[in-house]
Amino acid sequence: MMPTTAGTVLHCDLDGTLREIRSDGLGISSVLEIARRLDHQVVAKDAVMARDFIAASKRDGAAFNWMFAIDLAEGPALFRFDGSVFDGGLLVIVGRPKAEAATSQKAIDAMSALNNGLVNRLREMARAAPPAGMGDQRSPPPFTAREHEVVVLLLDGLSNHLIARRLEVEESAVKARLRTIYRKLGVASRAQAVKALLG
Amino acid sequence: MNMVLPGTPNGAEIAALGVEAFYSHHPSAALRYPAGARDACRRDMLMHLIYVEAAAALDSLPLLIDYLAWVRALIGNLGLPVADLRPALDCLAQAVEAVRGSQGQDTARLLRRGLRELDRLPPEFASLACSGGPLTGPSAKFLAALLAFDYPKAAAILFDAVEGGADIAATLPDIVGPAMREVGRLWHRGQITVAEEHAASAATQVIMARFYPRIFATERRGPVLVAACAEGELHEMGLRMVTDQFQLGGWETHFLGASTPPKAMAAFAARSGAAVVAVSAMTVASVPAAASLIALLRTSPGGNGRKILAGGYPFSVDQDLWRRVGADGTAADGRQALALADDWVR
Repeated sequence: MMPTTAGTVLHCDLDGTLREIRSDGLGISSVLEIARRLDHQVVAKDAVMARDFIAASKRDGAAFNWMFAIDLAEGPALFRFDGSVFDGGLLVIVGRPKAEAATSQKAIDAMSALNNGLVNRLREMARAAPPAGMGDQRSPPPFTAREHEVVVLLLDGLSNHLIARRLEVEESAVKARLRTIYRKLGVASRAQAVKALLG
Repeated sequence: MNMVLPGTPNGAEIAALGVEAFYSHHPSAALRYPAGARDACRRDMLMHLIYVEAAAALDSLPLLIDYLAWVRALIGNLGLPVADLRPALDCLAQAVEAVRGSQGQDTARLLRRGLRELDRLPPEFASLACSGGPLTGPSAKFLAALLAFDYPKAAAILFDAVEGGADIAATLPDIVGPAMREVGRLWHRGQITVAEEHAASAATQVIMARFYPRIFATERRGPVLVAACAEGELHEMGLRMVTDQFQLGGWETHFLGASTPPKAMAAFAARSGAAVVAVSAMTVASVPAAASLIALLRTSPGGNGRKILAGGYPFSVDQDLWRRVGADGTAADGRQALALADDWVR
């Protein structure tokens, strides 16, 4: 579970939105804005409302599965979150990459570096997938091109429904691909899959 | 070449010395700054020092002048007194001489020459990075969506552009490249914050990652490209886009990302049998590191017969720079880079 963190944290979600957030230990308490399109969904100091906030963001297609946060009060502490809603908690730390973050400028740079790392990871995953029509010539291929499409959107925080719409396939097809992805990753849930994909 | 890498010893000392000299020689100027501005001045002075010393190490007056013009315009855009730049940098020149001895004299001489040249430039010139016309077409729409935080729309603009089988290699860089340059200009003009600038570039890169399944579906015919940013260089999007164009051009590509440790790059290039390595530096400050990396690549295993491409903004400003850092060539964009490399391996 997430340790409580008081102070100002900077969050960056997968689609690049940066926000400065006052945290009172709940994880999210209120949103200072950079994310203008989200600022009407300000979260009160209330777990239920915070949960609704995350759910609404996900419904709108906003990426919430990935967030990078830097505690400016603590200095060089940087966390990677999975925004899944947990019992009694809101965010789960899935990684704690090393990064210097003594100032907000450094924090922003650090988040950019993490974002770049993600993109490079996606690039490597696409390379590992066999080109369409060439069959499984490499072993073991982590994902096929079709599964890779789903992985990208999964990491982007999209729901099954939105992934299906984006790829113009049935939601059941998305679920089937996700099952294969989970099996290949050796995990049982979406949150675990995100964690495994983040390494 | 006399390489002085960023973060060289005494950098902070020289910057502090320059700031103290400025404050004591120009007490009236100092009065214009709020209390506590001295720390910010030291930070700025250190940045000037890093750029000036890099330009001096590369013996590049064009890069120095381009930087000075960029800084002068930035100061004006921030509403700070532009007239203070000249005396402040004169103080920096003296401080460099005082601390660095004969090597510092070369740096100071170049800086003073650069300042004289700057005086001759029209005040509206704000570096090559800020030149060029307004955005039009899909680029303008893409940027508008990014700045409105409407990432689904930004993504749709890119996907629509390649709808119906249009060439990704020919289409995406033409939309994204100009938009990213404009983001830089908007920040320089004080119209967006650094956070908005980073958000726009982060979102762009994540959106472009959605094209990877298509990009890697292209048949690969063999030659291997290994691409990396010089140590200390954090801007990686440009080189990644170039690398992607190679991938689409049938190469097998490996992108090692920002600030790659030279030994790791050399080892990887040898292991992967690279026919061409690409090294990127986006600011003059990281060009000396690019030169060191190239020197290492020449002497490390596999270096014989392997071609080295150097690229990034400084190579556009100083057109002969690629030769002086020891590369085999440079290119203004991915298309040119691919054509040149295809020629090399033919």
